[in-house]
Amino acid sequence: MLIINFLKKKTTILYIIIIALLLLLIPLFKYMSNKRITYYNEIYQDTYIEFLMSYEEYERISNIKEIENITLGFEADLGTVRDLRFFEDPNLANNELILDENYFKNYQLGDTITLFNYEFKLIDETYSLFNDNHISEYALNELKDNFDTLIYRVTLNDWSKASKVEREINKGYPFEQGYFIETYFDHDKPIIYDIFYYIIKLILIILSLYIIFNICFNIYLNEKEKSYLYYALGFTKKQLRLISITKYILVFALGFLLNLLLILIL
Amino acid sequence: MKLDSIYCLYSEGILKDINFTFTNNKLYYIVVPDEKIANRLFELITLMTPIMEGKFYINNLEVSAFSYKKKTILRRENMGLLFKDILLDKDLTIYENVLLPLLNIKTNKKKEKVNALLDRYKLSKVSNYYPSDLSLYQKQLTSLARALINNPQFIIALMPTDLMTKNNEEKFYQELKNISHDRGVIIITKRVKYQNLADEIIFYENKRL
Repeated sequence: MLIINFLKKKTTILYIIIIALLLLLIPLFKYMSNKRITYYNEIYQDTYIEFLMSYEEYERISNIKEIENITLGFEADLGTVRDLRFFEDPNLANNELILDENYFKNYQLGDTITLFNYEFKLIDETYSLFNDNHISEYALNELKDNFDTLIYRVTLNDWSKASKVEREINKGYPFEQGYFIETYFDHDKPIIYDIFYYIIKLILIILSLYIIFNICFNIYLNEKEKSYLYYALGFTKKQLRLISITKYILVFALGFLLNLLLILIL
Repeated sequence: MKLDSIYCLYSEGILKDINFTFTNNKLYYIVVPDEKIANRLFELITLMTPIMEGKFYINNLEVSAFSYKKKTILRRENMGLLFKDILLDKDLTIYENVLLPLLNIKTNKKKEKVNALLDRYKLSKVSNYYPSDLSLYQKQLTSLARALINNPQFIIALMPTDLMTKNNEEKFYQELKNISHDRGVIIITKRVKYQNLADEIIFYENKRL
């Protein structure tokens, strides 16, 4: 009877509606967050983070949840003046090799090229800004033990967290070992969008906490007002606590259910 | 109900050496000089405050050392309470307010008991109303019906008519006298009114009853 009467009160119904509306902010936050990620990912769709690190770190790096893909590579020379960069390419067969056009001109298609006693067959040429060359994953795996450090080239599923990923990559890795990180994007570009996003988020969170605090406080005051009467009438303190807790739980549970209903309707 | 050499703290001192025996067929007035003492005596007699020293008997059972929970159950089973500020739950109807003490008790015919009391005090027509819809007199009658719903041995009233008009006050005292034939009624008050109705008048003087 006490609980039903509590739920029938206009103020309780109002609390439930307010909580349901506040909970609608969660999908709104999710939507805003997804829009933000999409915005970042569109800006940085052809970019990547590149760094040198030993293969022992591969598992740690692959466990960073924002990292979508890791392409490994190494630097080696083919009798050239400077080292060339070779990256794994899942589309190539074991001994296939694609050279950057700058180096390709020294060879013929079908030529056999030896690298650390591993024989490659030249099948194509390519162009890239950084003169990248491509070998198979299998070949990279066979050759990687010849190098103390490999080139890690990673793409992210959420470029808005690029700075955080950089920190994660850096974690516990001593600078003295020659480690460096190269990120091919401009960190400052989306800053206005971010400020807007965080200000809106902060305002909504503070507003929500304020409203929820007020609802809880009002219920508390109402309960306090009645507790003397109920105690005098023979309700034990345990019963009174149970009634109060049930009221809090019901207000929030019904607010949550109403929120689900609203989401279904909307 | 017997109070034996009881000492009890209150905000401005100590209630000392309270000795009295209340029987369950008399109307008692306890006349006190101020409201603070009235409140403390009310809480003392209704077992809502700890006793410093002395013994409190209900049905020859010494209860002063009982836990809060046991005292609450004793109060529920043996006492009906009337408050100065009436104290009805504003969110419950008149019917529900009278029913309130029975929520804790396994008993049959709850509805019949409530309706009988509502009929007795001519509150049936307003049983679905909320306290805010009623006059002060009707509210205190509701409170009296609620106090009687458990059929307690004692009704303990703290200045129950302070907010009423003189006419209603007299009727209310008369009703308290009527119900005192088969139960004890203890009225804690600052002024002696309708003293002809009282079986015993107890004065609080020099911090003693």
